[in-house]
Amino acid sequence: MQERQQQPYDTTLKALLREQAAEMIPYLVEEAEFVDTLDSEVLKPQPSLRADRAYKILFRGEPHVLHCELETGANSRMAYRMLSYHALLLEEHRLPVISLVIYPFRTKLPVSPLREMSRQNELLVFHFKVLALWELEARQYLKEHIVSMYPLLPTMKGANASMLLEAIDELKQHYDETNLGRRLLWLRTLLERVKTLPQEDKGRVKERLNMFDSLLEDDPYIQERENRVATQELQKAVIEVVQGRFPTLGELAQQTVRLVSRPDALHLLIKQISAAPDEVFTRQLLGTLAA
Amino acid sequence: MFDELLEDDPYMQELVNRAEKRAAVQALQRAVVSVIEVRFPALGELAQQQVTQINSLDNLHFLIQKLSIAPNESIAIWLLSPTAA
Repeated sequence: MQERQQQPYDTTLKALLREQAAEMIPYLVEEAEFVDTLDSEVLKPQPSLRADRAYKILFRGEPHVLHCELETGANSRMAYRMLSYHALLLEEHRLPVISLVIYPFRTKLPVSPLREMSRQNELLVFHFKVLALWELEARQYLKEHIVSMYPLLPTMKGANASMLLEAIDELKQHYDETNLGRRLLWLRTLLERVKTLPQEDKGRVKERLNMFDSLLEDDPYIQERENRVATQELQKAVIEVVQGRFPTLGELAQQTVRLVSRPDALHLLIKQISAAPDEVFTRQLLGTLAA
Repeated sequence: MFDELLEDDPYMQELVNRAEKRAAVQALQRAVVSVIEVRFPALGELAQQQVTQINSLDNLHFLIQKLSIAPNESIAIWLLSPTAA
């Protein structure tokens, strides 16, 4: 009965990247076309590595894998980490892998290629791409109406309040409410973190974004968090009802109620225990949860 | 890395905190009504009216504990009154 814990934010981010991938990939890697999203759970070695995203693409008309990582700060081991992902994806898909690290905020960038040397001999040369968003011209994306990239605009060169407000208006026209909410969430998050925009500009944009608060509250990630906290409180409530009515079963309730992770099931359990005729019935009921 | 970026965002944290509090309160309000509807069916409507006034998680948990062992309707009505919880 216990449900698998989901990685936080997965719903939002996977959805965002999945939906955006087809539109964004040609702008991330020139001459590339999206084909499909690949399972990014890379199972070997232990502990498992989890790539941010991997896609099947056509690059200059040929099938490739595109692996994207988003990094928010400097990491001296990044090139090695990318090599690990690269090797695993290559082994799994037997297709050339294009490795891309995206940096939204100004930081020290890794240098490609990574060379593995044995004295004078090159054992391995690993080429990967690095995309620094702050080097992209915000105006260019706005001018060409590349809406899929608008959530990233705050990180780009030359971005200012007027441009971002224009982008928000265009996003509003382009997407339905659910999809708009996710994109604005990203735009706001990146806006908050960038140091290149004056506070006054940030304030103007945030004021506009506040108008969309209700959309963000409907986001699947928020709903997942709501669900999680409701579950925790209801599990406590079940234990309280059991302890109140049948104190000797308190410990059993604590052990078994953790296995119920759906609010509706917990509400039903509260009703059943409130109506339970005796301890024997309640013990059986709790026992079925562990079965 | 995507995850941390959003998790660390103060606005997102505020939004999540607000949503979580609301969800917890609503879940417990419904739990109070469930206990009442099963134990004292005649008080179901009263419970639905009264419970919306209670937004403290501690008070809602207290109510669930006490209502689950309330010996009769009079005690349940007293527990549901605004001054009790």
